[in-house]
This record gives sequence, C-alpha cells and structure tokens, in this order.
Amino acid sequence: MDIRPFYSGSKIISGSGALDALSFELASVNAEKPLLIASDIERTAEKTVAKALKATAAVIGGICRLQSGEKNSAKTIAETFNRFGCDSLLAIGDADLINAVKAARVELSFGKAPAEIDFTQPAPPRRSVPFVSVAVLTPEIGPLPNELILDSGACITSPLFYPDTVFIDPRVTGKSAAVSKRSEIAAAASIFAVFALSDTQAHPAVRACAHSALQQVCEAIETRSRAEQTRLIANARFLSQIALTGVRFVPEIALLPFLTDGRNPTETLKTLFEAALPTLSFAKDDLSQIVIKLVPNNNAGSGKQTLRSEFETALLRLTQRLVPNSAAPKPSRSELFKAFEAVKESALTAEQKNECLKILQIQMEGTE
Amino acid sequence: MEILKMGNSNGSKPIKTLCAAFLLRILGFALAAASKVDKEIRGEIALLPDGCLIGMTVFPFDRPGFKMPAMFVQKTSENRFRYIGSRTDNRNFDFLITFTSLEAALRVLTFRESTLKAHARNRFTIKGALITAAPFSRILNKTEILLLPKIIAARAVRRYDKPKKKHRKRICLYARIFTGI
Amino acid sequence: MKTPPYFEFQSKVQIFAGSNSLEKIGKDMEIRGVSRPMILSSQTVARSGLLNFIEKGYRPGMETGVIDTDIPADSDLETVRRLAALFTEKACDCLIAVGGGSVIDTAKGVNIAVSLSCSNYDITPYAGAGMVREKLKPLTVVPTTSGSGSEATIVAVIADTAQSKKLLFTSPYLLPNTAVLDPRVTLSLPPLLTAQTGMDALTHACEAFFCLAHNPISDAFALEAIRTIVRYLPTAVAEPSNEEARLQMAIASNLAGTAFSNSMVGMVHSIGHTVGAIAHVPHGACMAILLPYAMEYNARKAGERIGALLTALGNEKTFLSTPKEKRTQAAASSVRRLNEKLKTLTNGAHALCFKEYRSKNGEAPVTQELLPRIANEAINDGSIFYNPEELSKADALRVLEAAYEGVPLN
Repeated sequence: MDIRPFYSGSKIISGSGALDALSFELASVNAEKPLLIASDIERTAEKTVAKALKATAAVIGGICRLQSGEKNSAKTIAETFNRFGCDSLLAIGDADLINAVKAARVELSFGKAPAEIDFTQPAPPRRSVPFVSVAVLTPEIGPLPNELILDSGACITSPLFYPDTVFIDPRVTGKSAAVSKRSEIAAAASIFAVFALSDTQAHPAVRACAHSALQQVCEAIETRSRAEQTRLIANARFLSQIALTGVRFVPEIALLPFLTDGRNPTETLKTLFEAALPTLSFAKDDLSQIVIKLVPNNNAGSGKQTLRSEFETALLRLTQRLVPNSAAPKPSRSELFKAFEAVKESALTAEQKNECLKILQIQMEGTE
Repeated sequence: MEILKMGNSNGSKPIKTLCAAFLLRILGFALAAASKVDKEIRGEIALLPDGCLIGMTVFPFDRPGFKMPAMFVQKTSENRFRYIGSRTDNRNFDFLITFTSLEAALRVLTFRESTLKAHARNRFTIKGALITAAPFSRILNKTEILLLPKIIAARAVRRYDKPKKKHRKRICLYARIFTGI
Repeated sequence: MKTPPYFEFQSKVQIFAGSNSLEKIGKDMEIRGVSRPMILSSQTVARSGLLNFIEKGYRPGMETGVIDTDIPADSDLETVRRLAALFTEKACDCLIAVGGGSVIDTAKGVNIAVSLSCSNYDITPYAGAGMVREKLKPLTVVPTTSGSGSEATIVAVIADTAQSKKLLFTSPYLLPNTAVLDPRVTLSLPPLLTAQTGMDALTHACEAFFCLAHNPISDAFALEAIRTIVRYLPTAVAEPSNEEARLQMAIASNLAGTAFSNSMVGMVHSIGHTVGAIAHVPHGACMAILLPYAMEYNARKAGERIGALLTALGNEKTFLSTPKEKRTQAAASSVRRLNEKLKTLTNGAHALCFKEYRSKNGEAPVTQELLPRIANEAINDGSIFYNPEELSKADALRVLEAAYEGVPLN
C-alpha cells in the first residue's frame, strides 16, 4: 500500500488570451516588474509577451536574451535582476533556458549557488522570487519541472524548482521556433505519459495527468488550426512532465542524454520505447481507457485481439504516425558502447546505473 | 547574452480602452433604465442591501497613472439603479467585478463570451458578498435580454427567458438610455 | 470531450498517501526547513492517539510547539486571534491541521494572522478574493473525513461573530503545502457517515466534470476519483476496518477535491447548502439525494458530458453499449443504484429521498412545506453560476419536489 508522493507545483493557464492575464497573475503574487529571460530564437514570443505586459501597466524591468546552448548564465541573470530592481522572473524559451532561470531563482532566494545548498534540508529562503514561464514548443527533452541540472552535470530535485505559473498561449506556441517539430514533441509527450502509467505504485493523480496528456495529443491530431494544435501539444508536454515527476526512475528516459550524439532524441526515445513496451505493466483500466482514446468507437477488448495487444498496436501506430521511421539508423553498437561507458561514469546511483545498463545491453543484443 | 534595460511602461491601448469605456457606459445607463421599466428587475434589486454600490472595472483600475475603464451603479431607495459614472471616490463597494485585462473585458462586453463562461474562465474576479452576486447576475441577464436582439442575447445568457411585453419594454429602455431620463 | 479554448488548473499540494503517511510529516517539515509545529485538532482525534504517529516521525531537534483541540464547529475570528497569539507565544514555525473543514479553515486563518503583518492578529483586511499575496508558513493538513476535499481548496470561510457574517478568503496561498492521506485516520468513521462523505466526494467529482468551468485536467482527476469511489465506497461502508478501502476513499476524495477546486460545483451544492442550512440535513446526505436529479436536470445543456461519466460510473463497455441518447439517464441510474446499495449496507439509514431522511432522534426535518423556502434561497447560492443550465425558483422547486418523493425528474 505504499504510494509515491505527488506534487505539481505549477499553475497552468492555457488558452486564447492566456497572456492577457499575465500582469494580473503577477499582481496576485505582489509582482509588477518582471525580468524577461528569453531565448534569442524566440523573438516573436518575446514581442508578444512584452506587448501583453505593457498594455496592463506592468513594467518590464529588463530583458536578457540568451543564445541557444549558452552555459553558466544563471549568475548573470541573478545580477541583472538585482541591478534593474526587478521583482519576478519571466522565462520564455527551451529547457536549457528554464534550467538557467531555475538556478538564478535559487541564487536570488537563498543567496547561494544551487550547488552549495542541500535540498533535502534547506534553510528557509531569504526572499521569495515569483517565477513565471511562457511555454514555447521545444523539441529537446530537458529536465523535468522539479529537476535542476547543475553545471557539473548532476541532477537535483526539489519542489522549489517548479515555475509558479506556466502560460500556454496559442499566440506564442503557434509561432515557436520549433513549430515544425510539433508532431515529434507530441510523440515524446505520449511516450512520457505511457511510461508514467506503467508505474502501478504512482499516485492516481499521476494517472490523471498522463491520461489527460494523451487526450490532448489525440485532440491535437484532429485539430486543423495550427495555433490551437500547438497549444494542445504544449498542454500535453506540460502534463506528461508533471506525470513523470511522480513516478519511479525510468531508465529509458534517463538514457537519452547519453544517446543524443548528433541524433534526434525523439527518435531514440521512440526506439527505446518500442523495445520497452511489451515489458511494461499497466492497470487494466488504463489499457481500455487508452484504447478507447486512440481507437474511438472500438469496443475495447471485445475483438479477436486481447486488450493488451490492441493497446500496444494502437500506441505503436500513434508513435509511428507522429514520428515516421526515418532513414536515421538505430544507435550503432559503438554508440551504445560509448553510452555504456558514459553511464558508468555518470552521477546516477548504482541502482539507476544498473537499470540503464540493462537497457543498453538489450539494445546491443539487437545490433550486429 | 544580450541585456536590455527597459523603461516605464507606456504602451496603453487607446482604441480598446475607449471601446471598453463606451460599452461599460452603455451598460451602466442600460442597468439604470432597465430598473425603471421592468418590475422583475426591481424585484431582484430589492434583494440587494440598501444603498448597494456595484462596480465593474478593468485591472489595474487602482494603479496610479493608469486610467482603466470602469462603471458604477448604486441602488436607490425606490429599488432602482442610479448610474454614477466611470469614477467614484467611494471605495466601499458592496460588489466589485474586475476584468483581468482589457481584452477580457471586451470579450464579455461584446458578447463573444457569455458572462458565465467568462466567470468560469476567470476572465474577471468578484469581490463582495456572495448574496449580491446571484441577484446581480440575474439583473444583468434580464437587462441584456431587453437590450439586445435575441440572436446576441441568447449567446450571453444561459437560458433565454422571454420577458412579458418585451418589445414595449425595449422601446422604453432605449428611449430612456438616449434621453437619459 | 473537447478541450475548452481557455482554462486554468492548479493543485500545488504535496500529497502523501499510504498506510504510514502520518510519520512522513517529520521528513516533509525537514525539507521545508521548519521544526516546531502548532497542531490544531479535535478532542476526539487527540484522544485517539493519532497525533502520536505524527510525533513519531519527527527528526532530531523537532518538537510540537503546542496542541490545541478547542476549535468550534464554525471557525471564527476570535478563535483565530487566540490561536495566533498562542502560536507566537510558543514560538511555533508551522501548522498542522488534523480534522474536518472547520479545523482546516481555522488553521488557514491562523496562518494568515501569523505570516502577514496583521495588527492584533486581525485578518479581516485579507478577506475577499486574492487579497493574500504572499507565501504563508508551511501548513500540513490531515483530513479526517473522506469527503469535503477542503485539503485541496484555496478557500477559507471564517465567521465574524460580532458582525454575524461569514468572511470568505480565497487565494492560491491558502492551499495547504502538504496533504496527508492515511487510512488510520478514517478507520473509526461509522458506516453511515462513510456513505455520506463518500457520496459528497462523488458529487464533487461529478459536478466538477459537467459544470461550466471544467477543463481536461480536472476532468481526468474527476474520472479517476469516480472510478475509485464506485469501486471502494461500498467496501468502506461494509467493512469499516478495511484499510485499503479507507485509503482509496481518502485518495479519491482528495482527487475530487482537486477537481472541484479548479472547476467548481453546481446546483447540487446550491440546493444542498440550502437544505443543510434550513433543515439541518448533513451535507453528504443532501448530495447523495440530489446528485441524480442534477444529472437529469442538466441533460439538455450538458447531456453529452453527463453521459461520458458512464465510462467511470460503469466502464468503457457500458458506455459504448448504451445508445447515445440514453447515456445521461443511465449515468443518473447508476448513481441511484449506488445509493440503493449504500442503503442496504447501512440497514436503511442512508436515505434515497428527502421524505425518507431521518435525523438522529428519528424526526423528518425536511417537510413539503419547507420546499418553496429552500427553492427561494437556493437560487442565491454562489455555486449556481457554474451550473450548465439556468435554475429559476420554479425549476429548483420542481427538482426539490421530485427529490422529496424520490421519483425521477422526467
């Protein structure tokens, strides 16, 4: 009867006109002068946000534009925040950028760099710094909302890392730099959701989030409007990530950073997922719910196939539809071997390493 | 990293502000006029506390330097509404509706979103006794039905209950709005 | 089942659920950097020894600042003031509320008084929507009834007895930081009360699903809650000491609470609150009786959504094998069947209609003469705004008359 704890630290505001409520939301946490931290490639999003803020009397303290892949920016963000007298952080960008803002927030609220703090028993923060993020579509599979990647590469988790509010506005998601990769992002979200469902010890709220994510993906497929489609995919991504924060360690996902050497992470994720799917266990309720979502009007489990095989077929068809098999070959033996060594050297715990290595071994057996 | 320092916000939206101010003004006049022509509305006003001050504003109404549109009405001793205007020094609101943004206000005032849907979507917040909320929402519905053609009003309200002598009341209502009597 | 063009959702409560969850509070306090809680509870809970489990989980250096069990059934300003002074006097740094709605609301009030600058612990300036705009001290909540879901809400209702009015505080900061769902807490709940609170949770979930502010996330929470309640409520009533059933009910109630605090409730609550206020019928009993009627009443505006509840009230097969036009009625019928089952399990104590309802001393508090007065007041309840269909006085009376006799609406 041991059930994993569940926590979702962000409020989600999703829909047309979501950004219009931005300064109202900021005011509700006593903030009116945010520092905008935006990815250099997301200029359209930055402009939309700035416009929404200006119209409602919020004063933009300043803007930090980050180049993609820029490292060690947390300190500069924190300094700029203090120099311009800002009172809140507003992030628009990919996972790297969000990670930098998380680190900057820790630095601002605790007065110390994240690496110097023991998050299992931190002292109460010196001040609270509201942190709001505006979602853009990003293809890379970054840290979860409760995770922070340190400069050393180590990953720490804490409920303190969640953004307070996540805005998902079709005006922004529809014009994200990675909008052409939206089906990939949808595929990753669905795979995340299915992995989350495979943890039978998870709190039922995890299942609720995962089902909701899959529902959003299914709706997105049927939606014609690009802006609305991207909003639904961003919803799905957010929900699948929240679901993943409440489940066991998933080695297939943990392996991704070790296998992305010049290849598309979603394709790798898909390969690992397809291999893992038959071995995952699910509650019967979940199987029928997913089949009915993916194959509407199908009387789940009543056909010739068993419910389980119907479920697997439906899922594989979905991922195949979203990420068609490309010409890119599966990870080669040497690549897998390299990952094998890298995992051994990584900051993962011994048990986690074992799980990852097992997966790599299975993959190696499949290669020549 | 490129760092830009930003100054004070000066990007108001004059046309949208004007539109919202105009529509709120019409609504204020309409509430006052409707309370004179419709007995049922007076019945609902009777449920409100005496001298009840009701406001409809757009965030950030109270922030210095910003002139956001607003509308205030007050209950009179004859169970009617008196339109006070777009500003009032009295801050003892019995019931205050604050739209979260100009866009949110325009969505509701142009009936793109029904009042109840907008409420469900947190497009506005309500401050004040809940006992005032239900009668005021019914007054608003009845006024909208009198004021607007059925095709628009039916979108703004949950159920279109046709009032008795609708056309006569509507003519009186418009006459009162335009003459200000 | 289309996603609405705009929605908001939040559930920023750390949830610990499981058989030894009370002991986990100590670890949670450590992560939050606090060590000296004020525990608010009721005398029954304090006598039952449940608080010892919390103290057992303390880390070195932690100790209870003070335990107070003198909390009235309706939280009021005077109690908040007294407790806030006590909190400061005993140098506490966080709050733990073990109890029902009033204990939890009082704890939220005390938290405002001690965390924000309140002169003489007067919290009235913070009454209203969104007036609390800063983080408060860590608040842990252990709900002792699986039904109210108040551990998941952003609301606190505190009475101002001097002015004889109720103050409503709403702010996202009033959400407790942690909710602890431990089956040991509800083991002593008698069968009838278990049935009523369970139906209260079911109503939260159903109304959250079909009322106006529903969204895809609250929908998923609601469906998950309904599935669990349908499966475990009869067991929890029939076997009060079944820990698994108790735990699942606590979890379901919390899920339903999360769902409805985001998408709100409708006419079952509007009418139910009024029946409770006028005829003093317990909240859960009103919910159980009225829920199927609200499903029938809202069929025209929200029929499809109410029909979709069938996937959780029954299963996917029942949903697919029922013709579209009959799903709403089938959903209402399955709630009625659940009520009948609970009636059998409680030896007839769980009422199916108002006519049947008997108070503890055997009286019938709801009479036909009272119905017009109830209808008149019900339409002024705040939850009416979220109901899909308009509800006039005449409509409310029609529903009440049917619910009195126990006959379907149509």
